[in-house]
This record gives sequence, structure tokens and C-alpha cells, in this order.
Amino acid sequence: MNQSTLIRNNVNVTGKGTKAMIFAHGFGCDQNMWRLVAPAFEENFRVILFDYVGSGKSDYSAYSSTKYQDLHGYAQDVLDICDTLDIKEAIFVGHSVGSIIGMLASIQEPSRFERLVMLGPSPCFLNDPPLYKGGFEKEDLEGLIGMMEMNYIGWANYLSQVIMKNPERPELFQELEESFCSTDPTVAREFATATFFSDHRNDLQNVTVPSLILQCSDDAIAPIEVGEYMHSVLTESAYALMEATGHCPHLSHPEETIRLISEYLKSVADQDSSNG
Amino acid sequence: MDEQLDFAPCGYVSLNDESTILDINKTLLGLLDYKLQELQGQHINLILTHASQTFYQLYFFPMIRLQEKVDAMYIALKTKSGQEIPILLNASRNKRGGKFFNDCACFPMKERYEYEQALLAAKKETDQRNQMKKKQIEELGMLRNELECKQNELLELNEKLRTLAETDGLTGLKNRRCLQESLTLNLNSQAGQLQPISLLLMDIDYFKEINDTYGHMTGDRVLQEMGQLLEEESRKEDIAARYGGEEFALILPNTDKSDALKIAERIRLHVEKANWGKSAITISIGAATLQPGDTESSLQSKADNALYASKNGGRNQVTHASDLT
Repeated sequence: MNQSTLIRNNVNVTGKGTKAMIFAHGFGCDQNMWRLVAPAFEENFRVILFDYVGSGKSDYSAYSSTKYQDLHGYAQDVLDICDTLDIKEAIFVGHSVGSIIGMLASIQEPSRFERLVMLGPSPCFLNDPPLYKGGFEKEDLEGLIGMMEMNYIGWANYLSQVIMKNPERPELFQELEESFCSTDPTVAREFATATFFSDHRNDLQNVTVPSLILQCSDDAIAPIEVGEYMHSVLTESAYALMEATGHCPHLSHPEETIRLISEYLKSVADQDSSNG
Repeated sequence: MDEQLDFAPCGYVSLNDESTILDINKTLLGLLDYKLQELQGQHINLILTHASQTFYQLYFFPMIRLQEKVDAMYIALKTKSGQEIPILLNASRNKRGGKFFNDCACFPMKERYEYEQALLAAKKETDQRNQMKKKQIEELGMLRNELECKQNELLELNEKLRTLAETDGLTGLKNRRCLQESLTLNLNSQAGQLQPISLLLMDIDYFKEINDTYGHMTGDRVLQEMGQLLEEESRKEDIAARYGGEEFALILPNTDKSDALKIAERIRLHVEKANWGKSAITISIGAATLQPGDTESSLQSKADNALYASKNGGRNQVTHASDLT
């Protein structure tokens, strides 16, 4: 493992601390999502930000439909980054699918992680009646992918052909670049499938790293029942229901997000010092 | 809200960062069939379809916060009665009186939506067809390879069958049927111009006694060794065959009487001198050389007569048909 991982995943390391704090973004965007939250931890932590292959400013040529057909490929990238930066006992903060990716990485190499902080996690988006309510029927998810297609996946291939035929109009390409965080239609479709059609409920019992679940109120993507379900199955998990609504508390309610994470880390640090 | 915006020919809705509806114009209220007080203060989810709620969280919200604007986003609104209305949405993030507002303008795109759906469907179908075509071409290629393999197998099998059909199982020499065909072929290829061609018919002397004394196994071994000996004695163009029980034949193309007799004598001597184990073995040979007017059957019958003469003359000798009176 070497420098190439850092370029592949557009890894950015900041902060004055020694303890690593890794921030993993969710589906559809990139590490910019953390810009209201991550700086608050730079004083005390070594803050690590990255993009998944196929997102943000990652190396798109490293994308492989086979490797990234499910979340394990993404989890491997997290472990590659840990290996390259020689990270042990990190605080891993993941948003949505990012928290599941971190969780899978922690099952594979628990020593890399000390705590998992999960913002709006969901181990399975599909309903599995009668016992599990993920919040989505298959048609809902197909509707979502249909909407993504209408917005760009369906057109992007076509558009890129138009753009290639119009080299005298580079602004077309610029517009397409800026229109969405991730513009590669193949990657977007496959990441959407890997994210929304995966079922990692059986992996929850294999998690040994303690975790904090931050559940948003009124989240259409990860409903409260899902957060409660995760809390009930994950050993050593703490659970906080946020005032924040929606699915992106790190953008909509950065202060509350920072406060809850800080309080959790402080409480476990106090516990650790009183224990030993 | 001023009247111009309230009745503008586009929907307008203003959201705070909690996605609460702060204000909404009459055009949009009319489109959704809601009253102002039913929506003001409510979460935007109330007027979004389920897929749109998710899409809003995944794309709209991060974009308006990070890029402070959203251009031409397609989502679907939901009316009070649950009807779906596809719209195109533009939004910008504006600061007024110290607070942030996410201002959205939208247009229904019912017909355009249908066009685009049809286009997308056509595009998908084309993609699928192209993929299917690719798959079919691959399958065809595989089938063709398979066919070629089978054909080769068949050719090999035919070759094997042909060899089997013209080979004598015990001696490995050509069988009588093959000899007959070769003879016909050799005579036909003369094409009017007479080339000397000779035929030897050979018979092991007292073979029945060998069988009776030493058993059929020994008899078979003698036949096999005789086959080998003939094979050794024949030239490249000669054709050695087992003619019957203990009878052998040798076609000698381009060979006149005197050469045929030399070859026959050499074979006879070879047999006589060879080590056959328990008992000595000799053969009688009848030779014939093609004369004008001969057919393959007359040639065979002449050679047969010559062989008969050798037998009568005391065996272990060579007789040429033309020397018979």
C-alpha cells in the first residue's frame, strides 16, 4: 500500500491531534459534506477525509464494477487508507451508507477502530415484513433510481457524446461536472444499487467496536425504527435521537452533530480513565 | 408576498434549513390543491412523493447547502389528493434579515415529462437490444466454434472408420475389399496408356497342418508375421493385402513380368529363410502381369491359375501366368 491509495481516494489529512478521526461520506456526494463538522475536531484529532472511488475527486479509473458491486469493495478502500496512514483505534464517523461501510471494515479489522459514530445508518432499506421496517418498498427504490435517471444517469452517457462532438463548447462539460457531485452514470447507478438494495442486518451481530447511533427525527431515508433496530442489535451501542430532521444532520444541524459526537467521545474517555 | 410573485406563472416555495415550508405562492397552492395554512410550517415532505423525499435528501439538500443553488432538477410533487406532478425545480440560497432562505421556483413538466420518459424508454430499449445483440453474436460465435469442433471430430471419426473398413483386423494389412478397389483404381488410371502392372497371389504351404499341430493361436501368429514380412518387402507404391484365410496378395504398380518375378522370388526366399520357430514355413506364389484386354478379374484369375500351378508343381515356388501352357 502506498501513495496511490491516497490519490485514488482523494485522501486529505488535517488537524493537530494524534488520534485519527475518519469521516466517511454517504451516497451521492463527497467529503465536502463534512465541511461544517470536521473542522471542529481538528484541534484534538488527526482528521482524515476521503472520497469513495467514483465519488468527488477520486480516481475514476480505479473504479471496477466487480469490486464495487457491493459495499465490501468500499470497506476495503477504508482499510487500505488505514493501512497507508498506519491508523489504529480510530474514531470512524460515517454518514448513512458510509457508516455501514465503516462497520463492515471494523468487522474485518477491529483493531483499526476504537469507536464508530453512525449518522442516519440503515442496514437494510427494504421492508421485510412482518418484523423489519426499512422504510422502502422495492417500487420506492426503483422510483428513486428512475428519478436519478431522469436527472442525469439516463442522459449522462448521451450528454457526454454531445459534449465530445462540441469541443468548441467546453462550458458544456463544466456544467455537467458541476451539476452533480458524482457524474459518472455507471458508478452512480451501481453505487445506488449497492447502497439501496443491500442487506447487512446479519453483519450487525459481528460488530465488536462500540458505536454511537445518531438518529434524525423525521428522516425519510433512515426512519427512527431503523435506528432503534440497529441500537437493539449492535452490542455496546449508544443511541441519540437528534432534533435535526432530514437525512443530513451534518449539513442541516452541524452544531448539534458536533455536540453529540463530542459528548459521546468525552463520556467514553471519562469511562476509560475511571476504569483504568 | 407581493401579488406579482403570488400569481406568477411559476410555483414558488421558500424553505428554511430544516426544510420547513415558510412561504408558498398561490400558483403552487393551486397546483397542489392545498390552502396556505395547510402547508405553512409543514415539512416539505408533505408535498413530495416518497421517491422525491429521498431524492431531496440525497441531492437537493446537499446541493443547496454546498453550492447554494440548484439548476433544473427534476422531482415529483404530490397534491393533496395524492396525485403526482412532475416538475422542474430551480433553487437559490438567499440571506434576508440575517436568516437563510432556500427559495425554489418550479414548473410543471407534465408533457415534457412524458416525452422524456418515452425517450428514456427508447434509449433503454436500444441499450438492451444492443446488449442482446452483443450476447447473441457471442453465442453465435460459440456455436460456430462448437460446430467446427464437431465437424473435425466427425472427419476424424470418418477417417478412423475408413481405415477400419479397409484393414484386415488380424494382420493389419489391407483387406480383400480394399485390394479389389485398389486394383480397379490402378487399372482405370491407365487411361488407355498401358503401364505394366503385376499381381502376386501367395498361399502359405500346409497351413492347415500348422493350425492342426500347434493350434489356432500359433496359426494366427504366423499370419501376423507373414503380414509383417510382406509389409517389409513391399515398396512404397505396392499394396499388400490379406486375400483370404492364408492367402495374401501384392499389387505391384509399374512392374513388368521380370521385375515381378524377381520380387516374388525374393519374398519366397525370405519366407523360406525366416525363423518361424517350431517348423519351417514356405509359400507358393502365382504372378500375373497385365496384358491388353485384361480386366481386374481376368488378372486375378490368371494369378490364381499360376498359384495353382505352383502348388501342383510341389509348392515353395513362383510361377508366372504367361509361362503356363
